[in-house]
Amino acid sequence: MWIERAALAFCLAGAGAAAAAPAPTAAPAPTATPASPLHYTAAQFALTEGGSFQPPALALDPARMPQPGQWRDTPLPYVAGRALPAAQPGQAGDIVTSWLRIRPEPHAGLDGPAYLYLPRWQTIGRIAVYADGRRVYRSDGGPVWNGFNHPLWVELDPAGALPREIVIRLDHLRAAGAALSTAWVGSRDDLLWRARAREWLQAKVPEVSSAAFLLLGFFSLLVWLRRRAESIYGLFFACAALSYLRCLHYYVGLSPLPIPEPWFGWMTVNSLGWLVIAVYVFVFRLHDWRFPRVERWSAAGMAVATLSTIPPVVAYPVFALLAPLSYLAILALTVLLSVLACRLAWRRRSAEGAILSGWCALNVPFAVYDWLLQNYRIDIENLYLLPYTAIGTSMLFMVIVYRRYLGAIETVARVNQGLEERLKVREQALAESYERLREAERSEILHQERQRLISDMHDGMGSALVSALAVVEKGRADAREIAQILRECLDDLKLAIDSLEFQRGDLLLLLATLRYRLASRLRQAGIALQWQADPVPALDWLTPGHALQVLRVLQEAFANVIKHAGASTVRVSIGVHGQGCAILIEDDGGGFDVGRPSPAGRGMASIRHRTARLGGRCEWSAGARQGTCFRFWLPFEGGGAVS
Amino acid sequence: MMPVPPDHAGGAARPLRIFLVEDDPGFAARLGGVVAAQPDMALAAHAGSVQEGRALLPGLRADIMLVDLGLPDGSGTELIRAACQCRPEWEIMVVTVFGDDAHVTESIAAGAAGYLLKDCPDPEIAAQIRTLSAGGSPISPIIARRILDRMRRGEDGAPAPQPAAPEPPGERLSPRESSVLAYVTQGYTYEEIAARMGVSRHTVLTFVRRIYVKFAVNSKMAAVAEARRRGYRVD
Repeated sequence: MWIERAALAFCLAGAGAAAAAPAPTAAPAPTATPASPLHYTAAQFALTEGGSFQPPALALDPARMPQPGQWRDTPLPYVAGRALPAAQPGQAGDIVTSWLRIRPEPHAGLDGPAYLYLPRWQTIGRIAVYADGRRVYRSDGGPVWNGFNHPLWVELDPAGALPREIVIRLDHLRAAGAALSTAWVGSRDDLLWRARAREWLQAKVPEVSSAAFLLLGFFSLLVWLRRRAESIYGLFFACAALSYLRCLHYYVGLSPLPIPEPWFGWMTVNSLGWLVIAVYVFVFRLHDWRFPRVERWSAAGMAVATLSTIPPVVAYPVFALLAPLSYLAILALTVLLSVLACRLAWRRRSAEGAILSGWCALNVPFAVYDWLLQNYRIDIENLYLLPYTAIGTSMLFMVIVYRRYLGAIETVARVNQGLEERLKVREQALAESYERLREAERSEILHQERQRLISDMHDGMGSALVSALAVVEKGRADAREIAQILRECLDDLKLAIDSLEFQRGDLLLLLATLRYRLASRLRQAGIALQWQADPVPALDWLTPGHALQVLRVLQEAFANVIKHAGASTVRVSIGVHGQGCAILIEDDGGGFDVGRPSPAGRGMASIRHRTARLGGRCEWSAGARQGTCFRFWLPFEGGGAVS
Repeated sequence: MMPVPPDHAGGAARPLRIFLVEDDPGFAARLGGVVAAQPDMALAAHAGSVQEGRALLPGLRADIMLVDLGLPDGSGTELIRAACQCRPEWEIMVVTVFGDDAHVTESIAAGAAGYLLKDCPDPEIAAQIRTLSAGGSPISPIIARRILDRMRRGEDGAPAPQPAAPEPPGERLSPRESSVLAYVTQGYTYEEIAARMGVSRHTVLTFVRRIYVKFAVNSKMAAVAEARRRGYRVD
């Protein structure tokens, strides 16, 4: 009764469509003031032997019916208890027929066809309903999976007449027992919503919720396929899939199954065992709890159970009859695992673990209840509750997996952010060390430049000034000689400054600068300068240090011309020669014997020395007509061994 | 009376009036001597510091200002800028020992049209001063290279903010001005450049003069743009 009330409340709150149905009145006794619907809590019962699972006849054959003396009154729900299968396998398949008879009396409020509504019937076998001897319903599923969890809804006479006698025939295994709920007879309006609500609560809810869970399981499976290391996603899918398989038996069976009944039974019973194991392994993995022995033994035991119960091994109908015992074994396993999980959750102070373990442990009393219901120990009009606790379990699982998933995403984001920050820090460190390196390099370059300038001033200007000083101190102050020396000093200084401003590699610019600097000296010496500069590629190796060496070489060469050659014209040409630049300085002076020692000799030695350090070549030869030709050559690449 | 040099042809008998800003009394005396020896030149005034020079700027009648860069109370560049502003008709020449890139480029950018090396012989000093009034004094190859680079950078690096607006005249070097500079970087003299370009020496000097002016204008514009940029940033 409470189920109908609950269902009504549910329908009112939820769908609202059924709200038009009249509120149920207190169940009338069949003999009291008759008003639709009629609720039968008692019937007449008889048992006959030698039944079969053949389709029941279209019309009742009085010869095969219980004799009038066999009928006796029985309360509804009617229950014939289960029995363990007899030792002899032959008797395990013993089929009997339970007959139940109701004689509805005409009652008010019944307009139109009368309907029979049975909230539940349950057995291993078949059911058929006869109205006035004519078959109006028979179950279509197999004897084991026969739609036991669906309410029965039968139109008794389309013509609208209320039958005088309703006979319900249950062909079933004697050992499996049988149960039949109270019966309702009444108009469609009065009864349909009850039948629909019960249908919804008993069959639809498990169907829809397990399907939804399965769908989430597939999402989890896809995650797991990409991230095998995170086993909880895989376990979530396993739980969802097993739960789906397990829930099938709550709503299939209205029509024949697509797979053989023994196999379906095997799957239904074993899926529950595996589901329990999967749920607990999920709980353990979620918290990184390890019970390798428990897990291994449970799985091994379940595997043995699964393999030893495959239909060819355990013959029908023994397996179906033994199912309640296997449920007890699974229940024991559940208790064991629940205790383990709860204890650990308590010890580890894990709220999530406690909630999850607690919920799973809560399944135990529900499982006991369902087991009792399955074995007719409590009113069979009650609902199987495990599908409902499964909804809670799957919701919990979903929330947990969702939080894990979200947590993983957030962790990735945090890690990325952390990486970015670390990268920034690293970049800064790198920039600082680069700056330090550059600073060191700069100071090294400065040091080198300083060394270069010092050694240049020491060799050039320093010694020139020393000799000028000596001339003055000896009192032989020849003004012209001193002016000459000082002028050379100044030239040296200018060339040194020019070399500082020299742009790397531009040899032509260097030579142009030299000409610019020497122009007035040459002019004063009365020497005409012919200049021919062809474009030459840049000499990348030519640093300011090298540039000063080049300037010194050419300065020395020009000095030789000015001082010693007695020339009137000097011709300078610059161009490409082989893999380098050639500079020719030709004068029309007196020429000289290269081999003979001369005042120019020291200068020439210096030129040779500097040229060698530059990685170049130099030579003197007689000019085309007269005078001397100085050739100076620098390579495009790989020159400049000078430090 | 000395014949007026061809570069200064058409000039009247009035001598070139020279305003010298120099703190080194030795060079000042030497230059004074050189100028006094030239019939076509006269020393208009001599200042020994930036302050003195500034004070003289407004009322002085002169044609050429010779400025030493290292003055006791500041840089000659300041004076060059001031003179450019209030005496645009003057020719300005920098006096330097080395003619080094950093000093000379800066003074040309400030508006000087040439420079005089302190160690150059007396006759050349006079010749250089005369050359200045005809055009620019010789540019050293390194400075020519620096000007070429800077003008090119100005073209590439700082595009005009309004491309549709016509560019102010004198912002870019003409191809012939560029090639004059390029020849200078290769070591050719103005005479040789004139021969190679098939123009007169006078024309080359005119190009050089324009190069000096454009460089100064560009430098000033770059400085203004830079200031504006910084100003916006401050805002």
